[in-house]
Amino acid sequence: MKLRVINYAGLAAALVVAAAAPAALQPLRLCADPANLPFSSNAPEAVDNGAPGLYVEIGRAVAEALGRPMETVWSLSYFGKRNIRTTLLAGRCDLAVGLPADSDFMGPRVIFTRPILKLGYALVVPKKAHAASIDALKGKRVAVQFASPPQSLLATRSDITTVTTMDPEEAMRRLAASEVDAAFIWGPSAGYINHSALRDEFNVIPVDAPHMQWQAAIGFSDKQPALRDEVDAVLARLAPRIRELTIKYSIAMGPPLVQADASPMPIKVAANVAGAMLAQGEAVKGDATGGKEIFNSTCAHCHGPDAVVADRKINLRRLKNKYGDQMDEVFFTTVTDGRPTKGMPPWKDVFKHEDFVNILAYLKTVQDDK
Amino acid sequence: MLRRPTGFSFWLAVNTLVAGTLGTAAHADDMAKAADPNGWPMYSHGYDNTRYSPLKQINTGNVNKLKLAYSLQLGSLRTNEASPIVIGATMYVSTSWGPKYVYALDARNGAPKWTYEPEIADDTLQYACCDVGSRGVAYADGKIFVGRLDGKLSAVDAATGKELWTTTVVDYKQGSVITSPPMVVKNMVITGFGGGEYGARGSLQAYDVNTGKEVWKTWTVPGPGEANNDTWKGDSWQHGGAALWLVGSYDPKTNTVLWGTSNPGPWNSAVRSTGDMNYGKLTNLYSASTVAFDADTGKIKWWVQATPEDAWDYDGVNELVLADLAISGKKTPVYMKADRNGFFYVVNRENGKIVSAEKYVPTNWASAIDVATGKPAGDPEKRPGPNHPVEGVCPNLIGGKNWQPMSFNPETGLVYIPSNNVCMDWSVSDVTYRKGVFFLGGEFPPHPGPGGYMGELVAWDPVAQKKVWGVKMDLPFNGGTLTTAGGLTFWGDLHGVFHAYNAKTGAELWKIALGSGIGAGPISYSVDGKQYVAVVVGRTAGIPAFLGDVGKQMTAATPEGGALFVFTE
Repeated sequence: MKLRVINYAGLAAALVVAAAAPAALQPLRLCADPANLPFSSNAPEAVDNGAPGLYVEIGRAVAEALGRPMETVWSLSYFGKRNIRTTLLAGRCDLAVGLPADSDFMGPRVIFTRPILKLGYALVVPKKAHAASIDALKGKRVAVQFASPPQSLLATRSDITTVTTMDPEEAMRRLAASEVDAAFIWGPSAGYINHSALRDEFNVIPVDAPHMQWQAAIGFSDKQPALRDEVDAVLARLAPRIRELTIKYSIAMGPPLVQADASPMPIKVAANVAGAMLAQGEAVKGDATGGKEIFNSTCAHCHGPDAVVADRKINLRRLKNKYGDQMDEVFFTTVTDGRPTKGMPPWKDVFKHEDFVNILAYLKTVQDDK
Repeated sequence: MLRRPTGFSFWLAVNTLVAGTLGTAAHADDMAKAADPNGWPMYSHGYDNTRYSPLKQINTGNVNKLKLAYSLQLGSLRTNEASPIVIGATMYVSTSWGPKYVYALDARNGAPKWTYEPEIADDTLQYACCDVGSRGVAYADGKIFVGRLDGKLSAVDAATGKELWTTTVVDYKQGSVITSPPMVVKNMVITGFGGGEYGARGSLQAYDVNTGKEVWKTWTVPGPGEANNDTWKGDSWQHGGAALWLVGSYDPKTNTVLWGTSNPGPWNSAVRSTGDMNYGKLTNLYSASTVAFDADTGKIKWWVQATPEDAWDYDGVNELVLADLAISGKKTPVYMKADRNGFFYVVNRENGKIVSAEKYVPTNWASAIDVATGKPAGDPEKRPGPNHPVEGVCPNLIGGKNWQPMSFNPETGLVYIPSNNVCMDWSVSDVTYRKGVFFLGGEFPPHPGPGGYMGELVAWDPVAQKKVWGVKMDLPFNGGTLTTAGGLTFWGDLHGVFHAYNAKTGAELWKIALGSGIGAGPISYSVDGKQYVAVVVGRTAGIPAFLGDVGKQMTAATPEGGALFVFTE
């Protein structure tokens, strides 16, 4: 009897919450990697240039179609399945764009919409070269990604020299430097880097062979079948928009190739790609005096005047010590999006990018050596 | 012959050597303390990794009277894998997550002395394949040395906890993390790192104890122009794995550092070899091997490869336990290794010649090891590959034994092995996913091995190569072992129960539930004439993710946790 009363109470509380915040207005939470262009990025350069990534923009289009605001939950996806377990399946976010639409991917716990993209590996060759088949690579040096299907495929060919790279950026850099004659890598990354950093010097040709092309969809936890159905229902009318976005990010969609008349929109090189592609990035400059003023009037509230504070965890004089070369990246990510679970609010709607640059310039003048 | 406590005399030899070769009186005094038989001066007690304590105040007659002396909450949950070390009257213990903390405490009562909290970046878990464990710290010369999840190595003042220096060993963003304590030899602190599957090229690196400056670095995958580079196909050596992520051993007599190496990468053996049994010279050296290094130069002296052209994730990292065994009546200096591949190796540690190698758990990927060449007689039906799925191959990828340390008791002559009995099917997955990129990986659903049990504490006679007694468990991946001159073997299991057995007979003499799964190896020490037994609990969180339903049972067995328990009479 007692148990039953508690249940009723719980139900009543749930109803009150639902009435106070109708589901339609709750933000749709997108799981995304903060440093993974062309798919997603929260780097200020990418956001300011209006190119936060294909998956972020697809997420926004979906949220807009559902009449809901969108919120992005950032987490790195170096170990893809583990990341999905700890975000999407842990209820920290509602949807993940660009998962392999395969029921074997992570078993019944991940459910999908209809496929929205065809993604796969592509051959990247100089414009003048004609690579119609794998056989055209005979006698050539070909960059492949470590542990990828193209690496496995070419391992069976003694007449092709493979050059192993850890990511598409490295492969494209070596191709641009003529250290290899071709690259056989993840197509969306190849197309994006080719366009944004290499002035479309190369042809990106999707390869249709076993284990080379996949259907990608939007994934949900199996606890969200209703949301999945809702999203599924709007996808048909979003198809033209998604197609536009693939062109914007220069993503070759599998045979047939992107039509000749649909020329990609110009987008600037995003920070993480630029960093990977260029030998030396330009250091962030700013006005330390202006930055100090902003810091002491706002940030000092928690982080201490002149960034002097007892609690090591929020001591910004230790940023360099703690993050080394990643200090800038961590700074921008944190001030832009905050760390809600640790009490740091997002500041992107309060300050301009220039303000952030100035604050960082100030903090760099007060870093502890040890 | 075997009844003489060789562990103790071994330590005296080490002490003499170190004191003789290294300068100042203060330094020699520190090392004398480290070699104190009453203490637990390094991860597995000594350079010999025996985890044998010569103490006998706690023994078969009174172990049933053990009571809690004190406990310490580690302040960090899950995957606590540390063996504390005890120097004089001070205990040093590290926690998971980086480590999040290293504590110094009074070994008699747990009173805190200092806490060291390294600055570890927030995103390290992203790059740690197998969770966030720290197996402990090392001591020498008044310093505590800490290998870190973020690929760094720090030296801390043992008296104050103040950081003295930090050096970067490896870029953790390539999937390489440090989870094991380094080993200090002479004026060098020596460490490896993990990441065999993720494109790392393994190396062992030695740093100056005082400055953190690199003394030597030896790749465990040879580059062009080096011997055995031709055991790799194409440029696969660049990302060949063979990482040294567990602990090493040191033989002062021959000035040799011995360390095990991980599996090679990538998983598809056709990329780095032939992908089948006809691998010829493409054995992928020095992966899945034991490698002997000259301690002064890091130069490779010899190696024993257990699993050529590995296709099962049979890491060769398991610790080398050094002892002098009576082989055919002749005292022989050997290392013993319970390899992940299911064979127990006894090898002459002065020349790398295999004495014997026999199955210590149900094993079917190979029928035997040729002791002359080290070559396994493999079963082609059990070798997986891209077009060759296999069923029922044993052991599975966690191996006959994983990182949990075994122990050797010179009085019983037995090795106490925390073994696993799990088999697997193996096939290529339809699709997996990393950073937006789709690719193929291995799928390896586990199932219990023959007999239906999944773990067993095996008391193994390394001379006769046969089991003397065993304790079977429903779950795999149970804790490391400790054995003592009191005739005892201590062992914790995944149900969080800590046991004491009669080392000779296997009779259980005492047990206590400690509340969270145990993986760490226990230790024993004596201060002010009183003997203690200590163990860290905190169940594993990384490995179960690889094991499907078996993994669910492993995590369902106990809550996550993190605590040190210390017992005395």
